[in-house]
Amino acid sequence: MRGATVALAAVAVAVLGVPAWTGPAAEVVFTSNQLTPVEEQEWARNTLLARFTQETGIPVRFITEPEGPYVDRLMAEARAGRGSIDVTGTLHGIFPVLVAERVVRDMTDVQRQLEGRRDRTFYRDLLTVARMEGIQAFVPWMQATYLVAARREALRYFPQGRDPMRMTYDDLLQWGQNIREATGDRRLGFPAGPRGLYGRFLHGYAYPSFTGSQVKKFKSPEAVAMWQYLRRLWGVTHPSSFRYEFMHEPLLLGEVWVAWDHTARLLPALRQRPEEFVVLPSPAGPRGRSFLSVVVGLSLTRWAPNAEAGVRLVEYLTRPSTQVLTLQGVGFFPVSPEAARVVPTGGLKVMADGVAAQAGAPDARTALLPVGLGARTGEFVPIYVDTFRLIAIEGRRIEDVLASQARRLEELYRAANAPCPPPDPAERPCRPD
Amino acid sequence: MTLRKLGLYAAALLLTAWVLAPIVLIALAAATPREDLYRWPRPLWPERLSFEILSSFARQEAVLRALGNSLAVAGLTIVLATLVSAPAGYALARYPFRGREAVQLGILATKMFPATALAVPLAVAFIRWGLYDTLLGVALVHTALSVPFVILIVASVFRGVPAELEEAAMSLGASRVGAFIRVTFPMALPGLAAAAIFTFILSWNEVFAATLLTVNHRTLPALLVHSVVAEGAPLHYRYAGGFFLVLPALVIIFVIRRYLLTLWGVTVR
Repeated sequence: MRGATVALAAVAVAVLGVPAWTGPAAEVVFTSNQLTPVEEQEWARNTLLARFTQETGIPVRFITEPEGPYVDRLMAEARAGRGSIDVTGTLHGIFPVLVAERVVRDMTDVQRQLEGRRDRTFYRDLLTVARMEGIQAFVPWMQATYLVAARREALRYFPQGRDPMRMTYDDLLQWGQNIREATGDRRLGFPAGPRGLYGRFLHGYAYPSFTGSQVKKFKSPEAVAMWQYLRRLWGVTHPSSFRYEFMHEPLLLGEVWVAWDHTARLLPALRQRPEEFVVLPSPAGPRGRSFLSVVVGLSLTRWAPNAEAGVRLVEYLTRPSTQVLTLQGVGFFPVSPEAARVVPTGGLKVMADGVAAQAGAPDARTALLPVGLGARTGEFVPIYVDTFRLIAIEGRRIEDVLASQARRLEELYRAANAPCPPPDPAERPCRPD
Repeated sequence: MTLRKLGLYAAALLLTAWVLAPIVLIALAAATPREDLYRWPRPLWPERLSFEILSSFARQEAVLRALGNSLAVAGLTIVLATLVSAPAGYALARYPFRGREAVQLGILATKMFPATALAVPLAVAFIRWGLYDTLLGVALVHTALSVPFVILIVASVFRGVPAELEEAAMSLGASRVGAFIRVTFPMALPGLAAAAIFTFILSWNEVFAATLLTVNHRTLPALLVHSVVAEGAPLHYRYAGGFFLVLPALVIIFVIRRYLLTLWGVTVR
């Protein structure tokens, strides 16, 4: 009996002794909700950040986790007024929450310092997007978009007399039908699985291209026409699309010939077999060729225990040569023209050409991720995905579904008192007509 | 009689298969070579087995450290939960006092608050108290989560030990404490062990608090949950990670399963 008590006490002491130990003092703690896939994490630790440590002798603890815990951790440290996080990197759409919760500091000084080095400038429009509530919330770090990748052999079935680099939504549907008639299979693919990004296609690509709006024209007659189109498109889409999450897998398997997805989620296929794939701009609709621009920024926390080293990390990560390294490693594109001038090779070249063709198209229209929904940001996309499921898969009446989902959208925007995302006018709160 | 027996065995088989099938499938998938996993259609029984992914998992320093953290947190949780629950359970079992039912219900009512709602305030408090990113902090949360159940289990275990035996010991000269230590405690030990196992499993499986409250001192589930269910985790990682989570719990339950029968204090007598 006594032996047991002593053993328990020993266990307790042994365990209690452990937490007193903390890491080396000069470490920079860097959190992000980007680069979460295991392989990207490995790359970030062993290549990207390892080089920084090699150069400066400062170790970096890189914590990457899903959006929920990522934001919670920053908020908890902000409210406690202290913590361990020095640098944080996330999507432009999350920064309004971080600014409102007084998580990040004004990066104007850091920006000036970086530009003073004269080795880098940043795209103007990215810096405009970084200004929130009178401060510069972040330094642009990297950017991405979504577009179409196709197997070369699929180009044979592209509608005759049409230009794939100027593809319209009608071309895409016809393409899928041609492939189906020729091969008997549905070979178009979308990442409509649980963690796929198909929702981005609906609100950032299809809606603005068909209606010129992401939110305001949610249940307009143009939107009804768009949903009729999407229903027909689903008819030539691979039936497994509802479980796809990363389109490079079915593309490599040959299950899907034409796929739309995030650049980073198409890249592994292009890297593995660059000569077999082409990258095309997203299609154009009656209201232009809308695409989403995803901007990722870096900022320092207000309580950063190691701010000086944090600034050095920001300097390293935004250096043009690091931006090129990032493009080659994970397929996020540069935010500096100096880095963009470096011409990549292989699969990246194929991707970069597609990105340039999309952004440079005469009918291109940039849509931005919704901003200002605060803690309820995560509810925006599911509304679009649910609408799709009800209309295209369950076959409900389009007008009814749109009416009830528009009410959800309206409630969300009213509760958050958030403005409409571009290309809608910035009314606050945004309200579907 | 044979028909009845047959039905009984069939039911037992069905139940076993129900529990074992997922474990077997995940174990097989974890031992399938990476390239075979991506073949479609995938054969149910892999053509060749490879332990390459599993062993690369086991060799990672972070995984081993997290395994140690998990064991430490679970051990600490058992100690803390027993220290709190044993006296409370004994009191509920032995002493009729005014409001006992209410106390019992009140203990369970603490389970009504979703941990998610408490996440940020909890993390804030832990940062202020210096408990953030410590194993003790995680163990404290796990203790709070397990105590309501453990008290109920312990109370029912003590109720299973006849009070008459304790009284007999006291009439033969033992003090109240002496009677407890010499008579009640040994008889309740299997039940208490079962309660400890329950605490262990609860702590072992808990992801939420362990993820949010730690940075460097991750427990195994908190570490693996990102590689197993994270966005775009490759299939082979998911299976290997899942198997790695199941395995230790399986081993421990296998070792102590006979105590599990006494979980509700049925076989103490």
